[in-house]
Amino acid sequence: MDTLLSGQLLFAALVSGSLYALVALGLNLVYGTLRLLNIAHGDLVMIGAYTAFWLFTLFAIPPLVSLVIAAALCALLGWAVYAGLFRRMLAKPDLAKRVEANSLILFYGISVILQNLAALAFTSSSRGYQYLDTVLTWQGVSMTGNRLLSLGVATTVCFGTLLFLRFHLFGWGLRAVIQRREAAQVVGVNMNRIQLATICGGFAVAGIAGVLVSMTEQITPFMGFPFTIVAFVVIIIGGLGNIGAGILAGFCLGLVETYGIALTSPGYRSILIYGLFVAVLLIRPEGIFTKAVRS
Amino acid sequence: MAFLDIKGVSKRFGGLMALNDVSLQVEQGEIFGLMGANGAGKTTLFSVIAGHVPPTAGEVIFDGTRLTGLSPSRICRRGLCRTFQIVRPFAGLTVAENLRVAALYGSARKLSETEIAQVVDDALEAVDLSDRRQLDAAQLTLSGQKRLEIARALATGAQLVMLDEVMAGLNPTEVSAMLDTLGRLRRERGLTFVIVEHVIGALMTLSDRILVLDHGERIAFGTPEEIGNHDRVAEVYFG
Amino acid sequence: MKNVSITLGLALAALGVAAPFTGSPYLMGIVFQLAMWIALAQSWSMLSATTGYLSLGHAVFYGVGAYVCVLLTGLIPFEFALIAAAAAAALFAALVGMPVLRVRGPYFVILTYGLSELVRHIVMRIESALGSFGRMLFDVPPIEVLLWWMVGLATLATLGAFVIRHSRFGAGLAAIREDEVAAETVGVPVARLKLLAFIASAAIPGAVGGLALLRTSYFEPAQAFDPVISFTIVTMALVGGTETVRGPILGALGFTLLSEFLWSSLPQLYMIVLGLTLITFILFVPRGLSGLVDSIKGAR
Repeated sequence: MDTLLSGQLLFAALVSGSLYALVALGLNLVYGTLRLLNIAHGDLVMIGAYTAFWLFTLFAIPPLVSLVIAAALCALLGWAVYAGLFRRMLAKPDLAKRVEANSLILFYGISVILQNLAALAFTSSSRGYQYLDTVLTWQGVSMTGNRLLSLGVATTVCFGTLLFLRFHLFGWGLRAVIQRREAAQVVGVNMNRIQLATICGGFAVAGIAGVLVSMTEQITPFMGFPFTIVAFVVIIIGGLGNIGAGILAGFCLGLVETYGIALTSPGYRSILIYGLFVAVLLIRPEGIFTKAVRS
Repeated sequence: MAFLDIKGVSKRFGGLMALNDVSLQVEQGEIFGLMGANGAGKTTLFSVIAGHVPPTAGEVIFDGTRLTGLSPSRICRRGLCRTFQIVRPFAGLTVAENLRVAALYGSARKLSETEIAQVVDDALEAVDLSDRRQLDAAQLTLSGQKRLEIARALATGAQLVMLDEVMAGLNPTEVSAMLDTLGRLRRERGLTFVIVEHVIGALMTLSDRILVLDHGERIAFGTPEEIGNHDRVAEVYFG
Repeated sequence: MKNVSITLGLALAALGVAAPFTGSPYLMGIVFQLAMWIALAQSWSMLSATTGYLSLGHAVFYGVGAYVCVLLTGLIPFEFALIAAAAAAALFAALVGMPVLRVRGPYFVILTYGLSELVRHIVMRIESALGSFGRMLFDVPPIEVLLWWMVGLATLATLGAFVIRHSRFGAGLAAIREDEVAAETVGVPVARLKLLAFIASAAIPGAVGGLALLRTSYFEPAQAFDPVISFTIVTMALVGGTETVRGPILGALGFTLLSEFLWSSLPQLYMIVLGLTLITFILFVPRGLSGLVDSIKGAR
């Protein structure tokens, strides 16, 4: 019982919660504006992680710098996916008819390609590097520098994005698209620009999350999928397209997962996550936190 | 006993009372009109009768059996079918296939292949779509798709058909063709219709009796003539 | 076109029956794989091609079948174990079908995926709690026998898919694919038909999972429920074309041959080709190889 009340566990929950919130934020942005579920989202985390790993091991570039590079790389990928695939698909009426289910399969294809490209290029073996791993102790809680940094960056990016969406004109346009798609178009919001910017932004956020993950965990070409699932759980609980509630839900999931595992054993982690995933989809695919607002 | 007997039906959506204690009786072979402004509860009433939405209170009796609580597919097999205001064709199937599904599944008993072919032909002829039978439903014009909605309901072998704004969006020529079609179906097949219509002229011409709803409540009931002269209706409806 | 399809089907079936007489383990191995993918892709099409509910979790039925089969092998003759495997997969579909089939569109796709992964992790947990890290099977039937069984399943699945498409059942499923609400309104019992299609589409993959297990004579939950199986099924069926019964056969044929060239030497490259082909076909050839064949013939 003592361990459950310790600050140690709370710290662990916050670190993973902030990361989940961040990964889910990217997925939610893309879903909110394009209404497409990006099942390859976790693979962008993987790409971000490899970017940081190689930059650090080959050129000793610190992860804080890699953040920018990984974000740019993933944003570029977002542009390629949007311009190369989705504008094409949305332009064809017979494809646009079943665009949601089709796009899910399409994203799955992209996911398989990214994973196997990474496996081909970097082999399947897991990799890691040491960075800021000295232990700091504060109020009896031991923290490594990299975890503190991860918590700090993830929280900053999450709330920074939230503030940006609230106060910048682009954010207003974006929220208009999320809430009233057709109306936004009518009042002159440039859909194309917003969708492109959001997919790049959403992908970039995933890349940033990947850099953070690489500082504390082993990385492999197939590490992405669990992140996709976690992000789905988070945004389904928080409500698809609801950015603020999604961030809150990310932290909640971090708590549930950390304490759930502390009460049982790490072997139950996947069962817990997939169980939650199946449960929320069966109960309310449109989201749980948004229930009151919608009806 | 009335053919369709709606007893004190209410439907509440959250804080909104979409239908409040509505009762009405439809006799076999008549054309019964439903009038009311947008949001008056006409479509909700259709959804309750057809089994898409469970009522908060009240019950629906059709041809002596209670429909309330049955699924839409079972209600259809008992002989009551509806159309949709916003058409819902099986877009990827041909016109004939649309009707074939209705004939296969909608009738109370299992039909033979010859009977099905006959039902499909009859329904096509009734709405004048025989020459388009091989087209995909998606390729029909709006008027064509509205007629397909009716034909599909007919092909189920329904004795009572509820038509939700089948005239909306049609031009005057098409409206008058539709009026002819419905009148003929009633005469030749003894079908009963409940119709919701925004085209008031059409409703007045076609209906034997009309019920007027406003904010989910019944405010007037009578022959088209009586409704035309009704003070409250004039106030609510014609402004 | 019909004659061509029937000829193709008969030729494949004859190849399956005759392969063991060549005595070539290599040929038997390929034909076994081909029959397996045809059986899986056809079964998948019974639900997903007919109703448009795209399942990305058919590995779960394969895995359940394999698991049941490994538990029963040695206790009862393998023929009965295979039937039990099919029954278990069908039963599993019947149990989860009602709630799962209420979820539509893209949510259904990811739900089937998540469900398959959930079951995989549960089985992995059970196995490790039992202290088992992979189970070996002894005294498995010879490859010839397994091959005939697999060819039988592929034939059964193809006939099943054909019968469903041309029956009253299939007409109802097509109506569900086009518009569920309208289908219900004209008398189609939507929930029941969807559930029946789900069960029909689960049974044969259960037996296939059992057979594949007997072939490798080794059970490991992570492999038996491998999501790559689901992905391969979907890719084969979509690339082959979902509008006809010959589509999944063409898809299975193409990718089985491709995997012979690539899988053993460069498995990652095979997966990349699989992904690229899937994307290309969804975007540019939505009617699949089968539609492509039609339009080429039409153009002549």
